Amino acid sequence: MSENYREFVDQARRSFLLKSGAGLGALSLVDLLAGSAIAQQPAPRSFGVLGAPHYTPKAKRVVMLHMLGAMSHVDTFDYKPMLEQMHGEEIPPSVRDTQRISTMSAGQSTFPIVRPLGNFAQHGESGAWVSDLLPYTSEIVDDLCFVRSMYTEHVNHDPASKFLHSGYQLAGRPSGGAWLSYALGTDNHNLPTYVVLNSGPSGGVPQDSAIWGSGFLPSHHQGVEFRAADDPVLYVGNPDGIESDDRRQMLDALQKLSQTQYEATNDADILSRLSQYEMAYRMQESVPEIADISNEPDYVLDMYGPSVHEPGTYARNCIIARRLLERDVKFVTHFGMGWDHHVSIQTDLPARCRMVDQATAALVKDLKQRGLLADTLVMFGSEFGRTPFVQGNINDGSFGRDHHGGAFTWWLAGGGVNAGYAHGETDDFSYNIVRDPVHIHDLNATLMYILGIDHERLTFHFQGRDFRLTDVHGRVITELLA
Amino acid sequence: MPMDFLFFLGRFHVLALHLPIGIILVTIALELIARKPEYQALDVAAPFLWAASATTATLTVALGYLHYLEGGFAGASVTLHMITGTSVAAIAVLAWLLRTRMDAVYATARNAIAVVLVVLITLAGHYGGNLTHGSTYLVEYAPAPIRAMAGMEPRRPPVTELAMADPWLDIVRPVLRSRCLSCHNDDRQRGGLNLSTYQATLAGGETAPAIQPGNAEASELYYRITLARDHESFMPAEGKTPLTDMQTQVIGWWIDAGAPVETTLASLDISDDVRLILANLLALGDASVVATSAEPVTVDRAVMDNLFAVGFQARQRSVSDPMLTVSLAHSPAATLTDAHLEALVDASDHVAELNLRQSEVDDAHLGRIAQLLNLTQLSLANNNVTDVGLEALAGIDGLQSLNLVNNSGVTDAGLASLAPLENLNRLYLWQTGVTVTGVRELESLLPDLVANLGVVGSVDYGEPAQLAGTWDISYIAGQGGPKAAAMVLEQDGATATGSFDGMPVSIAIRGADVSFALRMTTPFGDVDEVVYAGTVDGDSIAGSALSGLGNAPWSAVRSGN
Repeated sequence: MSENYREFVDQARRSFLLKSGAGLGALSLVDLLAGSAIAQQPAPRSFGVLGAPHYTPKAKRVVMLHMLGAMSHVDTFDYKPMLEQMHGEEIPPSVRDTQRISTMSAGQSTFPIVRPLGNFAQHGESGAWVSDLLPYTSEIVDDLCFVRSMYTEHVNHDPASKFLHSGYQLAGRPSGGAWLSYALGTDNHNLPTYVVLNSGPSGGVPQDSAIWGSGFLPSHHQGVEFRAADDPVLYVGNPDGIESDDRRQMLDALQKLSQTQYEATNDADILSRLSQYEMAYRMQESVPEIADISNEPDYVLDMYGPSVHEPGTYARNCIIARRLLERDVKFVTHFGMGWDHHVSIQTDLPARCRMVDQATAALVKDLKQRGLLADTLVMFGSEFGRTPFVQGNINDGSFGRDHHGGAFTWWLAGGGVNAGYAHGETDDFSYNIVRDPVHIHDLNATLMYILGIDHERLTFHFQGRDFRLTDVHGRVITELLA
Repeated sequence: MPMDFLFFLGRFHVLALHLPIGIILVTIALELIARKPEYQALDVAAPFLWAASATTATLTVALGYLHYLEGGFAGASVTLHMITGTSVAAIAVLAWLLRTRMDAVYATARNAIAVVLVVLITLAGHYGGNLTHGSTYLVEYAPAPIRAMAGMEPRRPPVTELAMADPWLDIVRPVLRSRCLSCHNDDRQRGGLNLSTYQATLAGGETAPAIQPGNAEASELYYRITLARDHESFMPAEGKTPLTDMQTQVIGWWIDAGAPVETTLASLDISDDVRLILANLLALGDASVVATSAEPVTVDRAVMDNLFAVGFQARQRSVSDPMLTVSLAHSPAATLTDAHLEALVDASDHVAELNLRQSEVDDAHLGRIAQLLNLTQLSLANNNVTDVGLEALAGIDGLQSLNLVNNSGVTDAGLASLAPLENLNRLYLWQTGVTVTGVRELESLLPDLVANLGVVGSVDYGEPAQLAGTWDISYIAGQGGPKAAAMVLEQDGATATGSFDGMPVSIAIRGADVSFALRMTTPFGDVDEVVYAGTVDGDSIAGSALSGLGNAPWSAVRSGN
């Protein structure tokens, strides 16, 4: 490598790092002493690569509740009386048409319709139809904006989930939370900008850290996974016998060494890694504080339901999500797993609904009474929906429903959202969209807009082209905006 | 109602009119062909066809008159339509009489009759079409010279840049044309409403003025298009295509903006949301929105530096908005001091949103916070503010959102001092001393205000049941039947902790009701939660456990203390 070229690369990296806030590690570490009582110590700055949002944001933070495995929209949010009437009858071939279906039911010779498992009723002033499998969600419908016409090209969990989070079906692209961290930086230097929570059983549905990865963006933008334990983040705590002061001295020494190495090699990853060491150090105090819910009054805990007392449950993670948002963590993704009901949907879906319903509604209500819902975006949905017809044998009690990407439901709530509105419509079979389709790219474009970002102008040049979360697609769905 | 029945019949005019047109043209064509020797045999059908022409034409005219009686028609088109239509019927009757009674006379006049009938049918049809679709319908997409001949203005060039679009000509008028004009035009004014020009649109119809510039909610037109689709008064009337959500949004925006005309979007103050809707409506794509937004601005660096120097986080709201959102909440030293207040007051021209959550703010601080006259949002949650301090805030005219959550010293009395804040629309009062009465009073003074008292508060569950001791439990583990095991508990107030078949457990006790969750390995090898609920009755507990596979009973009997 010629000297000139090296210099150029180094300069490019420096300017990039300064802009993106990755230069954090290069700040004087003494200034960053966590918990130090020095009054009026200057706050570190991190505005992200954009400096300021393109638009005035309607929401400053997001919590995405992803019902991984695919919640059945047919049984929960998309009411179709026709499915009651035609229970047991074959779905008309004209409805199913030539759409791709998963290999799990593609071999079936017959596709009889299964009636919705719950009883639907209209709720709230908005009159939204919700199944009685979700009684708590029914109470908050006037705060929700339903999108009944979501669709995706994918029919299997792994590509569909990666597509939902990163706009691409294979691993390697940054997820939405990473893009947001890259674009806008952070509002709380003591916690990661992007946190991931997991609850429920995977049930064989693949899920891996590429879903919340940073792809080609600097690695400190990736999501940080909180585990179900008293120490939610691995390897943050000090080993036995090491005190906080010892760790501090070690980090200071490491910083000097790394700085020397950086000056010699100009490798930007050194700075990224240093910033992560520092973040981990600050998280030694901030994370236990997040995880400790002992100061939450009983009447707040009871809102979330009985399982809130057990770490790692869906309800506990919902209250952890609220605590993170309260502290201005920008993006929380909470995977509520266990929805892949290929079999025994009649018993398993109602049970799973009961496990998430109360805590989900409680999260919305709790954010609202704290004044946080006005500038927090809450999103709830799955990577795709499920078929109105049976998977397996309708005459044996263990049947289920298969994957269906052609139509499914999401709801949004909070900052900038047109509460009490339902967008789009499916046909009488909840199978095809007949009005106002919304693609996953459109959902992501709208999400970015609500956070103040023009999805067409947030790009990263990599391997010879500019990449975006929405690739070359996506339209902001203005009807969803308040 | 006889008149209603006549109107009902009258509406069949638009169906019936196709019969005479078809039959007359067939009759003329038949007679023409019958002149050739080989088709001469067809001529015997002509008298019957003329009879059919005369009858259907007369019927159509009669129905047309009934339709006219219904009202809503005005202008030259309707008169010309009536004259030409009636003439068609009269000539058809004449032709029938001549053909059957005076064939010789008919033979000399038949060419003239045929030509006149074709011309009159064309004219009547054209004027009728104008009544149904509006007089510009036919030439809407005609080449420019033809449009000019028809006395129409040239088509507007498509909008390529949002800023140059004319709100009436490029945005609202095309929507009205595509959805409303067929019934509300110069010639046909259902309900007395004509939407073909700006002046006529403003003038409105019989019910009310269609547009109240500046107030969409009070405008009859907006009211009608936003009703439930099955409502009797919903417009467009049944059978016509309703406006899309985007189109109604745009009409609403236009009216609220004062129904601007003869201007461009560049000279209007438009929010980003509306820009985006307009860009979508005009199919310009999202990127053009940013291009038309205001020029980027940057906050003075010194202002930012001062705020950061004392520990604030500050952020410019957007690239084109120089106002700041400022937070102390997550600073390592989140205790509000004089230095903080000085920095804030120095930056008061720029601070629009301020978050002082959990920063030990008390009444003494609020005097200087009240000097931040550009504040629109203020969060004082989890602090020590009381009624005394609130009075100071009454001078921040532009304040829209105020968060007082968890300031126990705030009560109804203090709330009253917020009454001068005319722009206040969101107020958070959970975990304060404020009551519903206080909120109602303030809401009556500030009609836009939505105050939130929170959904939960302290609950008295009664004496917690006593769980300490050793219990014999029976529960479903895995896929097997009930399993017998032991639960050992100690109790501290409303919480019991210990072990449940060897697993650590923490039980919440609410009176006699108990609940807890365990994370267990499922039959499929995953870890999943199981939620136990039960009721304590002395030395026994009975309840159910919810797992991902459904409900199962569990029970416990105390075997020792």
